[in-house]
Amino acid sequence: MAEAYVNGQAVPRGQAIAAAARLLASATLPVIAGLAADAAGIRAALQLARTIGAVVDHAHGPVLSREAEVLARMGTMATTAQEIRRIGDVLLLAGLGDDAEAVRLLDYLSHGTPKRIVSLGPAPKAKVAVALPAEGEPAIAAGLALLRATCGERLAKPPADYRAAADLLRGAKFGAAVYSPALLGAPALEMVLGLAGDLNAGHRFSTVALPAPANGEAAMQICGWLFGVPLRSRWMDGGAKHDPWRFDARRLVETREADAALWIGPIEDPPDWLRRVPAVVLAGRGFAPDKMPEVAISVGRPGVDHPGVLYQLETRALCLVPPSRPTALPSSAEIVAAIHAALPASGSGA
Amino acid sequence: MIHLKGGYLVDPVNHLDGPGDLWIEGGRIVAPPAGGRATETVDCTGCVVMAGAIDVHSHIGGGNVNTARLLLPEEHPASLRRPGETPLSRIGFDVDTTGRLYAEMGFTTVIEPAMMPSNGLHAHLELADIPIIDKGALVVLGNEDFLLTLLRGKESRSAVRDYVSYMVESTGALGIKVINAGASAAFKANARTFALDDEVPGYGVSSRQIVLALQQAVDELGIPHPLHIHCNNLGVPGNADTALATMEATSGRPAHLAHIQFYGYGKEGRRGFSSAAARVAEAVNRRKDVTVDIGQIMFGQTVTISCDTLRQFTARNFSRPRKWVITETDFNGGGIVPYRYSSSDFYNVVQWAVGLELFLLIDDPWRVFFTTDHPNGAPFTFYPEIFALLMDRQARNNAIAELPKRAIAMTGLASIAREYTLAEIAIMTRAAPARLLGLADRGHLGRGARADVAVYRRRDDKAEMFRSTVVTIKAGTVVVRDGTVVATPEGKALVVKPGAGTAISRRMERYYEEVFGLSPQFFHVDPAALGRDEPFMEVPCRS
Repeated sequence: MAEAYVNGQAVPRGQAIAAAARLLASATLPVIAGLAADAAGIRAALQLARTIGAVVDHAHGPVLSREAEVLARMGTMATTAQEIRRIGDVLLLAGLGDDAEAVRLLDYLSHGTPKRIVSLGPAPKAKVAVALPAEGEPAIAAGLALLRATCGERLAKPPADYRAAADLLRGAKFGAAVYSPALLGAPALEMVLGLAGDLNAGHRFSTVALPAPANGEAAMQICGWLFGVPLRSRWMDGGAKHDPWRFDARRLVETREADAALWIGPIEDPPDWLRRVPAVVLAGRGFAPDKMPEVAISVGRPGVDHPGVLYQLETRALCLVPPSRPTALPSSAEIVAAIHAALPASGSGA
Repeated sequence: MIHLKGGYLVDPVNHLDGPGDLWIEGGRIVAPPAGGRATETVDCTGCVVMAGAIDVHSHIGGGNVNTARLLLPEEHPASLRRPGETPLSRIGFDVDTTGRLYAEMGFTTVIEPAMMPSNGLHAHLELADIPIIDKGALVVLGNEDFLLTLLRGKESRSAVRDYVSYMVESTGALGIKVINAGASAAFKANARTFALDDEVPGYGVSSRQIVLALQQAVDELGIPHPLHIHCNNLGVPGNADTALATMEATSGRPAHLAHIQFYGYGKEGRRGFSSAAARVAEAVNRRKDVTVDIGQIMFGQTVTISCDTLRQFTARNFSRPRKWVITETDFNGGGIVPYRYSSSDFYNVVQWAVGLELFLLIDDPWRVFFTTDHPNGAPFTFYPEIFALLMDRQARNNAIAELPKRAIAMTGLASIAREYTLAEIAIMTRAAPARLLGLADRGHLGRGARADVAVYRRRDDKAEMFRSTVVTIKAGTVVVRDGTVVATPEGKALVVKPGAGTAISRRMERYYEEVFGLSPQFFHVDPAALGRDEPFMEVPCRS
């Protein structure tokens, strides 16, 4: 990808920035999606959203939104991967899945205190003390419910493997349910958090969630402090409004309620649905779609081309990651700030 | 040059309590110019002019505060039935609103008292986005494996001192806070209560030992702010004994006991809950090396946010609405429990009275600080009402008359006649906090001081008077006019740099690699990551 494109033609970056500003400023309901950038990029995007009255959502909005809704409904009991690595002695892999991040997480947790493992549903290959088979999200949710009832002595005759699993969980010095929110629906999420909460009546137990990809947790946190509400929000009438259905970026674009989109990369490229409205895309060097969006601008990758603040799986916290091979490519934050500065004076929708 | 003309200056540091003018240039308070020409003159007739106020303990940013926002989207102003009604009902504000509301009340420096090291960068990013006010953060130590292992191994004072220094510098802190020392570690080992002489399972180290080790390190490092202590047994009936025992244990060196209201409880009466404020106040009056802030409660919805995971785990049973968060990390962790203080609830009314009693019975305004432990006792937006309760006995009596007599009878509040003077308010909210935190450049109106100034219209209704300023000036810039924010300059984060030893730094590297497979760089706060020009301002340590 060259440094910038307008309508498929390679142009100098400044020209693309001006085109992006014009496109966004003239929109009635712009959407800023993706937010697949470092903290500075996300923050700049949210400030722009505030000025132009844009909706903000993340590339992994569905998962983040589901987690946020469960959090606002019941709260959570959670700990960090690093602390479970140090003191955890029992793991319940509850819908963790077996993708690369799940493997990385389990591998990280497996050091330190030796662990006994109960698995429920798909999980990375590991030595498991009790395996509770479950295929698909509804079966995992049902399995979690059965396990919770067994742990709570609410069943006259629990299945033998569930009894064995419950004994293991309740025998833990400090246990943790390890799960991937992407694989669990709201009922299963509530069940896994409820199970952890219940177990603390007499024992110690918590949870470790696989963070949403593409710096999603950072986007949620930054929206929390800048807007005061979770993602899937819009700054309008002088304040933030939050509505997980109304401000779902994909729904807005697919129905064309939105009339322009800005995709903030580069950690993840835009999905095909974005192209249903005129779009500005900030993406990494490798971005090469069949048809270029109205405006595309090449940006560096945080932690590779330039330093960036990224949410860490191990610590559940934001951390500055130095560049692995620094380049002169601009950051998402710089480009978003430049678009912001290039807005015509009447471009304020807020 | 700004000329504040014809006001009534209240500045106990410079013995000002009378009519006078103030001149400001280059962000500082300056001598009256020979020519007497100003670019702006503010008519302060009928107004009281004080230094900008300093809040020593208010949870305004960091992971736990933000989790509270996400836990309670229904408390965001946009979700409330009448969002424009009043700022008082709000606890869900974003960072921008936080800075604006503080500035409107004439506050220009606010201390976030609970920055977990693992969340240091997050806390600083969030604090940097709060406009106008300067911030400082206290880093929370005293429950982490590394320190407890040092203490278990009876390592030298210098090792603990180096560690504390390393953590302060690495996280960009202004001081150290210890929160229920050892209890979060004990909770991980399934303890449900934890007292001063209880030992952390697996370490053989008592809460007392942890507090004393940290207090000594802070003192020897010359960090201006004394160890900021959140004692054991917060909220437990009879816990005045804990507060007194902690004062006894820490005597001989300076110690700051946070939100002492939550430790002002006896066990008298049919319900086993009463005010022990008189005992606690007497002890504070006697022990000159102790300072306290109050943590006043006010009635209404709020959310409690604390790194005291053991206490918050118990408090979850009282959550209103019924939801809560407990997170645990290699440091303290956090507990977020929404709560509604009710004026018809016996216990809440006793708590309300205990806070006011402590304010009024502690004689020395230099050693008692004005806080609600925002948002734990009440949102900081309740400050004007609390000023009125302290300065106006009639307002206090009116409030008492509305409350259940049985609860008030378990306290001594009704018999107290004291009314705070303007000078005492200026000490408690300006001069004393500046001294407590080592901020010689603020808290007063002397020449050369940072031009953080609040101008209030004098009114009989003290709540009305302190609700918003005529003018607030931050570092020489007019930021509020007639109660409305007109400029939003960036504030600084105040930090100390006591000088960390390289030996401990290598040891931390080894420990983090061995135990966590990580580098301690994970919690290092690099100012460059904050995306600001010079986000930090250094406060000198005592030499």
